[in-house]
Amino acid sequence: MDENPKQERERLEGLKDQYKLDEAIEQKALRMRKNVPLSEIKATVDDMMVETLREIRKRKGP
Amino acid sequence: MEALKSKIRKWVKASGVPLTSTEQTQLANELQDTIVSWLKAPPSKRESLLRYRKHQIVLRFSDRPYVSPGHGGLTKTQLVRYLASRVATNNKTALSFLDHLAETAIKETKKHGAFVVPGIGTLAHSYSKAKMGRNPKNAPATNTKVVHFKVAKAIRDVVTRGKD
Repeated sequence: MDENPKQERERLEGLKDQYKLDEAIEQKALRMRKNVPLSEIKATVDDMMVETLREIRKRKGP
Repeated sequence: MEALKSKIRKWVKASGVPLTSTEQTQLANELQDTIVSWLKAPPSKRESLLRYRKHQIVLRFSDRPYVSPGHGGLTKTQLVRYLASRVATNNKTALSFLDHLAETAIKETKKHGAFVVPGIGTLAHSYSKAKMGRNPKNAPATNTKVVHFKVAKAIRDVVTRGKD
């Protein structure tokens, strides 16, 4: 798949929105009685997940 | 509502990350654990926790080890972390393993003249005659014993001749 880093990031974020991961994490936080705003989840955890997948793809194989 | 873990798993599978099905499930589990740890951690420690966990996950699921910039190889700490992540143990155990390996290699080479590190090579005394060696400025002449390391053939083939 020929895509530049920006396209890859957009694709992963699009998929993340499709599966509603942000809302699922927010629900999880509520169940754990942690008051974490959705904006913070998007700026931190989401970013980490996308970057982790990108990094693994980059380092996996030649 | 669908559980977070299964959503992450679907996302990882759809992302096309080049991992086997089992590895994708393990990656999803790691990501879920990271999120839970992040939620449990005090706000001041959340950022560093995410950075550390991301590094651990990338090391575990990627083929290429982390190469330290400017050094062209792993530092001891990086090697310990890499080993720990690959064999699913903690850094302390991996460090202890490395230290014991080095200690045993020295002890055995001294005692029996050779020590084989399986898959890597042999550490042995050289059979050449001991030579008189000294710094002519300030040291008396002494006999020097040479220790050499013979690299395993498999490594020699791959590294020096470019075979796979």
